[in-house]
Amino acid sequence: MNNRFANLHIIWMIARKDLVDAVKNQLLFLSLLMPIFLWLIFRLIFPDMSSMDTMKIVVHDEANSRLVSELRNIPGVALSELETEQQVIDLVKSQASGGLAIPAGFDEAVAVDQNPPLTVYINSRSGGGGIQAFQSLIDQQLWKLAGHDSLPAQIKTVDTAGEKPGLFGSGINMDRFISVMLLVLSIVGIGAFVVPSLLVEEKEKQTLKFLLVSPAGPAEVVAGKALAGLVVCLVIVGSMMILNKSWTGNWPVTLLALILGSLFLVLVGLAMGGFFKTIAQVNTWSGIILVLLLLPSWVTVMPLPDPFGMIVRLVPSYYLVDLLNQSMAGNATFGSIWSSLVVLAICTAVAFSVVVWTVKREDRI
Amino acid sequence: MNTIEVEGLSRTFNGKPVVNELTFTVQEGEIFGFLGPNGAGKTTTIRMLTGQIHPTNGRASIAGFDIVHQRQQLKCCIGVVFEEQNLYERFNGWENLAFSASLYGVDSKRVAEVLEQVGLRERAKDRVQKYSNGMRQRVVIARAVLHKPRVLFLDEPTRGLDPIAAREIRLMITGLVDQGMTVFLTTHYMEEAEHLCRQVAFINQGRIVALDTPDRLKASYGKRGINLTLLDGTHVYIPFDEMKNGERLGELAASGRILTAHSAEASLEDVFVQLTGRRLAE
Repeated sequence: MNNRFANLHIIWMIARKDLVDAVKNQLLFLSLLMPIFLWLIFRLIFPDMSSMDTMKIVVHDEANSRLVSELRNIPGVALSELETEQQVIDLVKSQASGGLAIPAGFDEAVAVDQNPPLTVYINSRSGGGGIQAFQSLIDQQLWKLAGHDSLPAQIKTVDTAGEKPGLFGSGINMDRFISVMLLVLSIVGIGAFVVPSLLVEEKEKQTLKFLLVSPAGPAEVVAGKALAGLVVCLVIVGSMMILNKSWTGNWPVTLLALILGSLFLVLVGLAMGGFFKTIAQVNTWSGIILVLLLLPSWVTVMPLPDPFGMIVRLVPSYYLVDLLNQSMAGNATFGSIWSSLVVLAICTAVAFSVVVWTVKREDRI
Repeated sequence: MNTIEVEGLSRTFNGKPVVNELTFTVQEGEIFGFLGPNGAGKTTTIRMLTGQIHPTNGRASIAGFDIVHQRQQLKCCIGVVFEEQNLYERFNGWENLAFSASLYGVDSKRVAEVLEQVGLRERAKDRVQKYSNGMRQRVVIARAVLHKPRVLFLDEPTRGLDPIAAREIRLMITGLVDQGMTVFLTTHYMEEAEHLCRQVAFINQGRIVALDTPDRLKASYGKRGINLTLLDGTHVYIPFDEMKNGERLGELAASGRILTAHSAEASLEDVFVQLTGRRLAE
């Protein structure tokens, strides 16, 4: 058998064994479903637009924009056009879900990719669920207007409650924020709590010795386990994305970010499995590593002053969050994502080498 | 023809020698016993010979493959039964063997064949968690011979087994040798080594202190005579030299006072104690 083919065969056999074992391990299987339960809980707290009653939107339209006519045709949306921008602000303060101020020539500028300005008014005191639904709706209609998955306008979000930029008033799309946070939480959770057991259990039960005297070498063992972890991660996050209808924006970039980010975090989990001897040791450290890797997903809504902001950039999961935020907002271009992709790819390669080293160390060659 | 050739093999951990200058050969189809107390260096030697760790000095080859430079070829011609019964607990017997078969590129028909050989075909679909120690050990051995290795390394294969299960394992080992396999056996059960091995090496503190056939070792270190136990409980030793005219033995036999008579040759355990001052069970 050709060597390379034989190696791929061995990697797949190890991955398949781990996947079958994960299904047979009831505790592990249940813990894999936890992210989906979490998603359901978050969705109960922050319901999406389909679960809400009428959404009241007020608009000051100087452009006679198609955006307004599209919004008017959406069931569940009550749209009112107002004479002045100040009236929009007043109504958003008192009763509307959100407001728009569309400048003259907006549609024409969108048609030639000039990124015209668009002011979006929200009221942070009206609650997160309505705001995130309103923002998602505007994003979707703008993509529809542009005919592609990049946002065609420079959105300026103004909080009529006069709050400083914060969770709901910073221009952050709440729906996107929750989606990114849950996705990162799921991947980090699987990486920090589930994946280490793939290696630690082999050490505890001494089956790693059997693997290492078989034709599988340390690199094949690590690659097989990484593949199993990656498959599990992608099945879970893929299901969550489908349930959450999150395949919006630049979805190929989202997919690439999820694959690369999952692979990196799976390898972090395997590195933990390589360094620690027992499941108990892993559980002691998993919580700390989970918080550290989750931190970047919170920074997008709670901007940190330097040097804390700089420190967060040292956490590799920051670049996964950045990629997901950009791609799901439809803002991702090659120029804006390449650096994050490169950082994640380098971190993944380093993590792979570290895990192989820990397995070789176990082999004490 | 030598299947295992070891020359000056040494290994240190953190500067401390664990295995020191081992030199021996094992012929094809032979069971070679590697005997010593816990911590003598038996498992480290097996780990070196199976390519799990590199020696610090010396060289060795298994079936013609160098243990350091031809590790991948080495892996395909050896089978290893570890001291621990390291099976995938949530898998059944069949799945454990099928996974191993997939790594070695062995046909699944061979899994059925080996399960039949070790008498586990009926229980193949039960999780190994439910197996007795003896059954688990049979699966471990079946896994090690699935790809028909030329050399089988057995690290304490009967440790912790009841006498019946241990006997079954010993029968399996002799069956494998009958098929042409070479066996490298570590054990501290002397009767097992005496019963199975053509050649034994005693290892103590990392060094081989004796290497020969069990019979020659016992003859070299034992007394040449017989031990008699009389009906009144007294013990009498009669050297073979004194038996030339048969007077004393004939006298005792005629008086009907002899309860038992045994050869006074040493056991392997006695030989080891004489050589090292330590007992094997230590």
